[in-house]
Amino acid sequence: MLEPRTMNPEPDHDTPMTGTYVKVIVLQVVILALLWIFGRMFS
Amino acid sequence: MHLIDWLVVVAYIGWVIIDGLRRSKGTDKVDGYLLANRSLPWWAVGLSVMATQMSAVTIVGTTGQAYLTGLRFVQLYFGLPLAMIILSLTVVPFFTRARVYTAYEYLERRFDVRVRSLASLLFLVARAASLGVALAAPAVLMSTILGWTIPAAVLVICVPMIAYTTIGGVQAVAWTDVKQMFLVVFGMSSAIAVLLYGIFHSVGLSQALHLAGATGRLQAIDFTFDPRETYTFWSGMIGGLFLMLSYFGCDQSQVQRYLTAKSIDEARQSLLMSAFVKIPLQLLILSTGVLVFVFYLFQAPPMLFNRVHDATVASSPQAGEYAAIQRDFDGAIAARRAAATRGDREAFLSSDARVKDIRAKATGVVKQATGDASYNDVNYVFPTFILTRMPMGLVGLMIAAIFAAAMSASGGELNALATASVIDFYRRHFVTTGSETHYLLASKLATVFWGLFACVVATYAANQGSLIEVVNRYGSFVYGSLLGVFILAILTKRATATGALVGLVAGLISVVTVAWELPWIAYLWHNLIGAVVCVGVGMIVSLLLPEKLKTEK
Repeated sequence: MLEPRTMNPEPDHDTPMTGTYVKVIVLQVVILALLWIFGRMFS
Repeated sequence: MHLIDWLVVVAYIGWVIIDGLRRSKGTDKVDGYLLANRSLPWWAVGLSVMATQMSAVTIVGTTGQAYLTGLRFVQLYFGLPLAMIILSLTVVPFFTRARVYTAYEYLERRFDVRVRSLASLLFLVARAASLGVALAAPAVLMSTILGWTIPAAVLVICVPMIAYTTIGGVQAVAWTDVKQMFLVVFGMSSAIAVLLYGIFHSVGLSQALHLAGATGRLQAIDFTFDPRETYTFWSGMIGGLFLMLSYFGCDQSQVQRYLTAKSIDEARQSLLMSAFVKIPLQLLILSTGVLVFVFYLFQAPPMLFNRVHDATVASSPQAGEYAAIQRDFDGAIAARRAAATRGDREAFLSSDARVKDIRAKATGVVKQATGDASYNDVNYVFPTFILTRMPMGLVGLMIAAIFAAAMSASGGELNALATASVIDFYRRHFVTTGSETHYLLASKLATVFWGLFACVVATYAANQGSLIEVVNRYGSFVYGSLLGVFILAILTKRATATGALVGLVAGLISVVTVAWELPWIAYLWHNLIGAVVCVGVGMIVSLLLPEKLKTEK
């Protein structure tokens, strides 16, 4: 049989990451806006 | 290639094998071999996630595509950041807390062994075939540009990759991926520096951008809603979202990456790294292709980049016609260069259109002379630039980077195939009470088996252009339905095992039917269709047959 798993001290540590999710979305909006402006500027 | 370039390539491959051997420490148990004892830091897992997704074809195919059509391919990734947030909130805590080796193990806990086995089988079939094809593409490329035979090219890619994956397990895969990602980014940045140096000898940055923009190559976003168009804002945001949810949430080759993280938090951070970095990284690769286009406005490009058929065409009845086309091409290139240099937009666009027409004509002649109807030179644009325009040393570095991408994408897949076959089938159905040593040996043998299987498929697929297309399409048949079954498992409480099983099969049938009957629908939408049908049918069956299911259980 398999031996018990090696446990990490805090493997189930689950911190809310709302701030990070907001940063991801803000970055994507900025990238999309820049790509759109860039395309218009040089079309 | 110069001797120094060969030395760079050989040194890199040697380093990969030695480092893989060094990483085998701590992998003497199944948990260490398949999950690195859940000990890896988020940044290493995050880089491994990106390396597994980035194959050699991503580097050469994407740059070639950008050379021809510009930045629009980036739209495929528009759904990725949102997908990563959704996965961070849903499957990451589920899988990490469930202490599973494979994503499909969780399906047995939630439903039953039938759903787990079918889902894992679909993964194995799709991934095994695509692994062979993913190795065939760089092997064909390397054999063409370096003059090797296909089996030799396959072996040069596969032997180091099988060696370090078998010996070091998931740990070796992850740490090799980390180094390979740095090599790829450094290589691409070097190529961009060389391109800019060459371009700035002829024009300034502003004029270079205006020239690329005039041909539409800087138009990254297309807001038209047309299901026939593969890459639009909407297909990327909606179809791409479902593709990324399926790939990162249900494909063992990716799930296994973040199962190696130290904790839920670190697994989340590893996925969110892709959310931040993937689109900029893809833009870096695509920009390289656009810069190659601008570079060749001022330096004579070859008429066709894949020259493997040159001798055949030269000795065919079409030889005279081909020579005449080459003369036309040389004239059109000279006219385009003159128009680009003096900034005459109208003359530049008309001469560029003429260059395109002549290339199409030349491609037609090659197809006719060689009988190769699938002849295409997209994947040869960037390698041609590397071999003919980059300085000594950097050529070797870029070839090593292409090898690196091929090995890092395949190593993760190989590791995942071994894990799914041992955990979901061998340990579950055949030898249920084996020892730790027994399962470790089985995992290593499974890695070698899948590695050899991939070599054979790659060698065969290299000469079967249509087979590559079939395998790529098969992946899009499976992913949406797999996502649907995980949605039923994680987001609904009423879904039953029979409902999930019927939903999974219905999703597969619906996607195959749509692909067959409505071939004009772009493949990105298949993921959405498969997921929606699987969830819809799964819920209906679950609600209609709740009691019967209880009896069956």
